[in-house]
Amino acid sequence: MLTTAQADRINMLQATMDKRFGDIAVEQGFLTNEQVSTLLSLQGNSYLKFIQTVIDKGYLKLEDIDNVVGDFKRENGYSYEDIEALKSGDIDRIINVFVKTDNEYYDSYFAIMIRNINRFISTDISFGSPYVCKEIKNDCIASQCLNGDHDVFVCISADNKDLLVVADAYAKEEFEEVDEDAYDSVCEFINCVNGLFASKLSTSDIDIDMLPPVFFNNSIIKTNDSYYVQPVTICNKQINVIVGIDSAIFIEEA
Amino acid sequence: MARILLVDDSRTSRKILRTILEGDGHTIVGEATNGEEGIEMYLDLKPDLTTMDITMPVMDGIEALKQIRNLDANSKIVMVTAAGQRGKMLEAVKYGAADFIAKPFEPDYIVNVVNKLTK
Repeated sequence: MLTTAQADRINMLQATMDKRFGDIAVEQGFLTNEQVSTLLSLQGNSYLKFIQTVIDKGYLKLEDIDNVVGDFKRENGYSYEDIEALKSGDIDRIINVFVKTDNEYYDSYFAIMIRNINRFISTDISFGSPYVCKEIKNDCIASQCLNGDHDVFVCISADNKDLLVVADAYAKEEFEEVDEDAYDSVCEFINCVNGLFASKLSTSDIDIDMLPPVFFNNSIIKTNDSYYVQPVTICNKQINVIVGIDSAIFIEEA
Repeated sequence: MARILLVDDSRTSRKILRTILEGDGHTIVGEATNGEEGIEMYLDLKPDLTTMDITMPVMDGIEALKQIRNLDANSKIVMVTAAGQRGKMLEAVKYGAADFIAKPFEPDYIVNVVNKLTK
């Protein structure tokens, strides 16, 4: 909406008068009132904050942003709608772009999990697409099984102390180690998410019951069938959300 | 204000409930980590109200509810459930549960349920 030169001029004028950025932009004829309203509604949008920082730091010029976004879109095969979803910062729109498997139950589970990570753990999250796996080893595994019309295995796993990013936030305390209490916090979070998933399934007359959560140290999650892994980065800590639906899952000590 | 017993295998869950209920002026008289322990503590402490998790090892919340209600028909037991435990909730109603608290916890809702049953 604004060129760099126009933004610079507004900044310069703002330094000499007690007026808001948007008011000056309208006075100077750079923006309409409607455009200012639109921009104000986007305040707090992480994409815009990121772009502003990139420009402020001199890494890119405003004129180059569209080209860079275009390259990113082409390289990753994203559509215009996908890019707009990413720019929006709207978690539900972003989930719809990235969280896609060949099975609606997995899609539904991962969507519920990511929304609740965003709600209870942190808004500083990023995630890729879920992938199929048969074996994965992690240092720390908090899990719960659900059984009934479908058998479901769910766990959140991580290496080193990365699981604490979930434990600390959910219990609202700082654990020093991934000990029994830290696992309890992660298990309780999984239990809540699983309850919401079970509730969603029950609207389709699918009943599943939750078993008490359990945790494992330094173990391998194996199956002869397959399960999905949804990698999620929370505050720069990497966790895996693993879900197996109607797949026999075994946990073996590594 | 009420004297409340918390029965839940999750330390995190007990901690969150304790914070919410103590914040509203109630007293937590005890914490049990499974149904069996919950029955013993109930008989010992005679609380005004008990919160009882449904999914617990050793003895689950439904069995503990059943036994406590057999021992004391005036007991007030609020079941703590994860969303989606519809079948268990119906079972709990059958055995005399006073009300339900669903996870994830909503503090205002919990306080309302407890105050309604203990005033």
